[in-house]
Amino acid sequence: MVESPDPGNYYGLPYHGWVQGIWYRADWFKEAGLAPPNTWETILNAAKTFYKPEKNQYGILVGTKADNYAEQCFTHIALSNKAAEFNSKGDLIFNSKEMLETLEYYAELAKYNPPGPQTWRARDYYLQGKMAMFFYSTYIMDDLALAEVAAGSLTNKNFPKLEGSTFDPKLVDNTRVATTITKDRPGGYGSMVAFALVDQKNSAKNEAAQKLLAFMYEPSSYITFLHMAPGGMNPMLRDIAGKPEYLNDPKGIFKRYGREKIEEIIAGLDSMGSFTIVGGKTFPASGKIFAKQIIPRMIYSVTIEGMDPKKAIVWAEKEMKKVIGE
Amino acid sequence: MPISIEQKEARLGWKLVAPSLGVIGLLIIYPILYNLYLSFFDIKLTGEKFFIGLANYEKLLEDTAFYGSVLTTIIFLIGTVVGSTVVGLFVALLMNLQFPFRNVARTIILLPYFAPVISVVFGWQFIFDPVNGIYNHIIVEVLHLTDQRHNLIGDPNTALLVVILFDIWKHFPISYLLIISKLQSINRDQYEAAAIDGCGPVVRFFHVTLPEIYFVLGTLVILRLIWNLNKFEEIFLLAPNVKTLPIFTYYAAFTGIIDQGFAATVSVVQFLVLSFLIYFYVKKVLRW
Repeated sequence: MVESPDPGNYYGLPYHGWVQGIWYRADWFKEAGLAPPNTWETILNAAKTFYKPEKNQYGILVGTKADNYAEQCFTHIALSNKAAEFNSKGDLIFNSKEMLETLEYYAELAKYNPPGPQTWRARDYYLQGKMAMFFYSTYIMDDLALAEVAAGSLTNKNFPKLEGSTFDPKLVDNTRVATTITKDRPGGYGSMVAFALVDQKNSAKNEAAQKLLAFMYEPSSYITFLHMAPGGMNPMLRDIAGKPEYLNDPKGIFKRYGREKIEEIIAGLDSMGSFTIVGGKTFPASGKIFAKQIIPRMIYSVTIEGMDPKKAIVWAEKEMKKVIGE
Repeated sequence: MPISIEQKEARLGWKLVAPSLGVIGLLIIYPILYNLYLSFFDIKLTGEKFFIGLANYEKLLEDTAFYGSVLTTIIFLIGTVVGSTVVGLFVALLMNLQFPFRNVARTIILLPYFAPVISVVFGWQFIFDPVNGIYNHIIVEVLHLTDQRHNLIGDPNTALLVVILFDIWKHFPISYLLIISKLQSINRDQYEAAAIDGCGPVVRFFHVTLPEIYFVLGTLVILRLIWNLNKFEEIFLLAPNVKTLPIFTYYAAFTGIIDQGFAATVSVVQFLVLSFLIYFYVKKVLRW
């Protein structure tokens, strides 16, 4: 239960969420004798190892186009380095040593991206067997497992001579995900959807709302709801994740992953963080910063336009101050 | 006092144009004036407006990104207008010659102009995709011209070039169409007379063809200038990192924290630039 700053009136009940992670080719890693990409060192090392542009193969995908995807990838790494937008008092502390380290590291990783500015869509290259790792949410799970869903990413029909573009049924077995990245501390990133009930000053209406809520949490309705997007919408109740009914989705996606992997993925929800929440307090100003796409523009300037990271952070903090001041 | 026939005609004239004047006033004059009005305000999303005088204009003039956008717009305008006119002229001259299946060729040439923007944009994006695109495939794997794959649309240094090429490709047919219709009406006798005087094809082009199509070319250039200064969808869909003035306005008006007053200011400036360009072009270049 999350209580609002004005206690007693608003409550939020977490319902479902997705976790972001680095999805990677476990078979390539094994062959190269590399450790899973869950620390700064192992990620960079693997990105370097698998970056073979002459073979049209790339090490990693991090967002470099100035959009939300870039901010999502960046936040994940920043959280693992204790870099933050705000401290617990609500002061803007973006221009910090930790943030600079993160940005420099991010720019280094981006060197092993496919050419030019990239966003989430480049995950297709992974499905085509041309990339070793990519940041993505659990919404990718059906694309990895089902040929008909993956078809949209395997655009080989027009140019049959372009190689490596047929569905790989073993990809789901050969893929693993690292949901936490560790440097100074384990960092995770994701998003959560919650129900919020407003006191409607009408007991009949309030009761009806409570009834609906109770119904939504009953295992059968809960599971049916989540099965609309298997993998994308994950349960917030741990025992649901282990239920055989949950693992038996209509399209058979979870079966292809197996119980162990699913529970591992859902465990990622435990270490989820964001720039908005510091020490249990929410800072809505962070949402304003997000809306103005300051971090994505900073990333684009550094990775694509070659701006100095120090200058970029100073610029970003200045922009953030303008936004918060508004 | 009875009114004269001229006065009657004048009244009828006004009555006849009144509906179109009304529509133009409502759909064009009013938005322009309202936009000008908005540019002096700080507008909140709630609809509240605060008069701030010229602050939006000061903000715009201090914005270095704005000057970058003006420069991009100028390069885009020169590249596309010159490019599509020259290509259109060249193709029109070719298609004015007699050869088998000329009508088929003439139809095919018009296709880029008719194709829906969104489908051809996706086509171009796929052609230039750095990993799977046919462009890199040919350059790197077939011709071995380089071993590095390039993201021509994503790279800010080359995106503008691709956008210009796209626009020329998409719009040269309209230039071609207008030019060839004029070419066909040029009297053959003039060419024959010139040939008898000993003029070669080049001299005939400059002394017979060009003077005849001068005003068509002039109209084309001015139309393309107006269209392209206001062009949004093609550029934004193909390469959103190419920030010509309309795209710059869009980012100010509709992304992040929305600043409608500032966006109105950019539109006003864009309108002024357009008006100046047209005036300069009509008075100084065409000398109409």
